[in-house]
Amino acid sequence: MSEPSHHPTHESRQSLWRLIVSPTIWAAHFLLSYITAAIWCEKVAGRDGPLTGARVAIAIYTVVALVGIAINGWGGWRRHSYGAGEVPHDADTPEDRHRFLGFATLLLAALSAIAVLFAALVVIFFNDCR
Amino acid sequence: MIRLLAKLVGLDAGDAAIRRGIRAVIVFTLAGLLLVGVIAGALLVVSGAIPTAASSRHWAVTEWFLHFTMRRSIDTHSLGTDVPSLDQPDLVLKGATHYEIGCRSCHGSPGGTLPRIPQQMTPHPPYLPLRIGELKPRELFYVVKHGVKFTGMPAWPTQKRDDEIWAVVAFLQKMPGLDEAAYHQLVNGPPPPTAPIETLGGITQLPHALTQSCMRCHGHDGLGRGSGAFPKLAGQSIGYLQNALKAYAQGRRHSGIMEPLSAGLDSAAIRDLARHYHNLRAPERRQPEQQDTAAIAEGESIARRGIFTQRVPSCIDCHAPEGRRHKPAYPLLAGQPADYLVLQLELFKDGRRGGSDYAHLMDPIASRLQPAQMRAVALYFEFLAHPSQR
Amino acid sequence: MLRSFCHSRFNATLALIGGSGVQSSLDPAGREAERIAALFWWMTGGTVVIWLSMVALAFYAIHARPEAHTEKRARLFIIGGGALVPTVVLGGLLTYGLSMLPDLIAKAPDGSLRIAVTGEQWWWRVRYVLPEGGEVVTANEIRLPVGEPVQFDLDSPDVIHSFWIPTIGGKMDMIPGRQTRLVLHPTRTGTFRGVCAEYCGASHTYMAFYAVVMEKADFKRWLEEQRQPAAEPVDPLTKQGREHFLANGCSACHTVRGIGADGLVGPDLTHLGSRLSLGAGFLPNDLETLTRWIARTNEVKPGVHMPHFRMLPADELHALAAYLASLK
Ligand code: HEC
Ligand code: HEC
Ligand code: HEC
Ligand code: HEC
Ligand SMILES: [Cu+2]
Repeated sequence: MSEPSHHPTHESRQSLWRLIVSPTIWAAHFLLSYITAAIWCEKVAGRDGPLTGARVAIAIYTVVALVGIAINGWGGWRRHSYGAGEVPHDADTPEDRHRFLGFATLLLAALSAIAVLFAALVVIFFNDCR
Repeated sequence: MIRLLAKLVGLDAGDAAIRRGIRAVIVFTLAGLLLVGVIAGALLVVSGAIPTAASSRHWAVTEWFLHFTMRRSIDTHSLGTDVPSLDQPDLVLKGATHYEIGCRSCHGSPGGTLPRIPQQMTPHPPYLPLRIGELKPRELFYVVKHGVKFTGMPAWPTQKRDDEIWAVVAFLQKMPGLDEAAYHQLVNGPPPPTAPIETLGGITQLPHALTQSCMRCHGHDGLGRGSGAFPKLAGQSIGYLQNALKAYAQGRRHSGIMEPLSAGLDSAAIRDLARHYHNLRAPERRQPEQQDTAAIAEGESIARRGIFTQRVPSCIDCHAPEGRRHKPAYPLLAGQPADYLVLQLELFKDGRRGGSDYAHLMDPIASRLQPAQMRAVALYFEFLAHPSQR
Repeated sequence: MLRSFCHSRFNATLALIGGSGVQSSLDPAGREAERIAALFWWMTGGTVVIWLSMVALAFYAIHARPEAHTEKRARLFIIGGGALVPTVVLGGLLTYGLSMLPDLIAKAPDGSLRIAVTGEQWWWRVRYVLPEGGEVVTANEIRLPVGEPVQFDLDSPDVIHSFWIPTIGGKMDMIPGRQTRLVLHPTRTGTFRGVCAEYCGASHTYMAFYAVVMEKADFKRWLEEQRQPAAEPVDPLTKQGREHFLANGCSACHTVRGIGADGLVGPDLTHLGSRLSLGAGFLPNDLETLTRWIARTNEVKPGVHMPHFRMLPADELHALAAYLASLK
């Protein structure tokens, strides 16, 4: 075994945290969108008012969220393609663990991106607070 | 223990057989004694030799033991009772009038002598004016509500009216400070006028004793001695008065004060009394105090329109219909003291009032009213003119 | 005619919830119900297609030889069939569903009929707000002109109820402290049933109503009749009934326009006799039931917020029922 701290696949540079970045962005996007719409309709536009401001805000959240997810997913893709491994990355080696975590990150990023888009879909069809 | 016994009678305590023998002797002796005791006791009871004569009194030790038990029980059981504010003239008056009817005959009154007959009870009722100082309000409440077992002290006729019991306690608190004249003034009120009482439909002939008894509280004019303690009966509808007295008599309306009084009335007496009070001149409309006008205005709105958001119906449709046939079973509330009305509404709300076959109409209505709204609508009715004077 | 229809259907309806045309979202009589039915059929069709393909694939998988496919193609198939297709199908459904919604909850065009319905434990307060101004109050029954949009403004003073006429459209919750809206376009005449679709307490099951879709002219006539004050009693019995109604204080809770009864706690009874049902869509509206309702209210409808009047003498009950039945 080589010196752990210098090995490119060592856990400290590979924290599991990066796995849940995309779902977290999704959750944040969902919450923010809801809260923004609720506050907008209650305090600004009124029950029957237009959703315009909230729609713009949600559009911005969506773009930011998708960019974040894309960066996270890109990182996943890079780790997934590390060296010369083939899916399903199930060998008992640090390299395959590295690739596996990258692959899982990539899949979660894809799922989160779709979920963010689904949530944003609502304001495409609704233009008032009803 | 067994070894000690063996040594005492000089046997060998080391021998297990002897120890077993001694144990058997002890067990059989005790069992025998018990059996003899039970048989003797039974014989004693069956023979009728035990005196239950009240005249024979208790032995001093029995009396001490019974009273000690009673004191301890009362003290413990009344722990944690919330004592309401008792220094209220109406409460004292209500308690006093009941004391005169329901308690004096056993416990005596200020300035009076100890009633002779109850003195012959064992244990005999104490002369209360002198005892009160030794009991806390919560203890008085407990005794009056629950009575005392194995003595002649009765429980309150209903367990649903703590407010009435507190009225008695309020009076008991005041009793030690009263002399004979003050007591009489309190329980009897002003003397009835010598001139005949004015009624609307001519004077009905009633047994003097009957009206005499009701008068103490409801006044000779049926106006409740001008106190919030008693409802006004004058000018009330006959049907309602009759229903109320019947409901009290049958225990369907709960009141430790009115239930015993009504229970003795036959239906002819109930009819005559209802007619008598119905025919008395209804209360004059009084002028409200300045500070009540806002509440009265709110009360008027409730009475006339109800409170839509709380789904409270208007009251006047049932209680003071204008220009309509009035349902005899529905009481007129005009001129009734606000305190009395609020009390009844609270009782309805808590499911403690009871009443006639019509009483369930009021339960949901009262339970949807807030306390301030009860007070407001009660004030409105207190200062509303009776239909006969509109 | 309608009445007999109602009576004969009365039991049948309860037995066949959703089965007959009276209360079925699959036999639509309104634009919204048609769309919902269309959505339902599309989804059912789609489900069948997906199911059949899955079964076919399973069969194929059992019989296929592994060598027939490269690993790469198999992986592509998994990604395509397992991730891509569901995403596209769900995305399509979501888009379709969302695109329907704005229309379903949009305001009706200006000048359309508006009906304010309040769901209360356990009945319906109904107010027709007329385009030309003024309003007509009734309860426990809704009549609609055919072929016109109608806007319902819904609310509740107590707990959440839900307003639903399955044959005409979707359901909408009635939420305390908030007004919700529902627009319906009935497309054919007939008598349909509406229900409360959200559990709301003891008598939730007994909180229903009839929705009658009528020709425009009939509807106009009906509304004009409802606007009138109560019919004058003509015979001694109904005259007496009116007196009892006032003397017993029914008027504290009920409105009967024209006789000085202006209570708002319970349903407006001005034209009770003209309704298809009693006690919120679940009892036949006849003399006997009416008498039973007044005398044994709490037995007929558990928890009901109207006190019973069992203590009234029989002749008084009879006169009351006769009077109310005469209020056509
Ligand atoms: C039938 C006679 C009788 C009547 C009526 C009666 N009592 Fe008593 N009361 C008794 C007796 C007997 C005792 C118990 C005396 C004892 O053993 O200390 C007692 C005890 C009491 C005590 C406790 C005294 C103590 O020494 O602790 C109070 C307080 C009392 N009664 C109040 C009342 C009130 C108030 C009423 C009317 C509501 C009333 N009683 C009615 C017979 C009566
Ligand atoms: C010791 C005082 C007292 C005496 C004596 C008395 N009453 Fe009462 N009466 C009351 C009180 C207190 C109430 C209110 C009771 C309640 O809260 O239910 C009342 C209530 C009534 C009521 C119901 C009134 C209403 O508006 O609901 C009637 C009727 C009545 N009394 C009749 C009589 C008659 C008749 C007599 C004589 C036989 C009589 N009372 C004697 C105190 C008394
Ligand atoms: C549907 C008829 C009806 C309505 C509405 C109604 N009441 Fe009553 N109320 C009654 C009846 C009946 C009684 C008598 C109950 C009995 O016989 O025991 C009564 C009794 C009362 C009493 C007790 C009277 C007494 O002398 O003891 C009060 C207080 C009262 N009502 C207040 C109100 C108020 C306040 C309202 C309006 C918020 C109201 N009621 C509305 C029918 C009604
Ligand atoms: C305390 C208020 C109250 C009083 C008093 C009252 N009602 Fe009601 N009534 C209601 C309520 C609330 C309902 C609705 C109950 C439900 O369906 O859940 C109702 C329903 C009815 C209905 C059915 C209406 C419908 O649309 O099907 C009739 C008929 C009726 N009441 C008659 C009477 C008569 C007759 C009286 C007098 C004898 C009376 N009510 C007194 C509150 C009251
Ligand atoms: Cu419901």
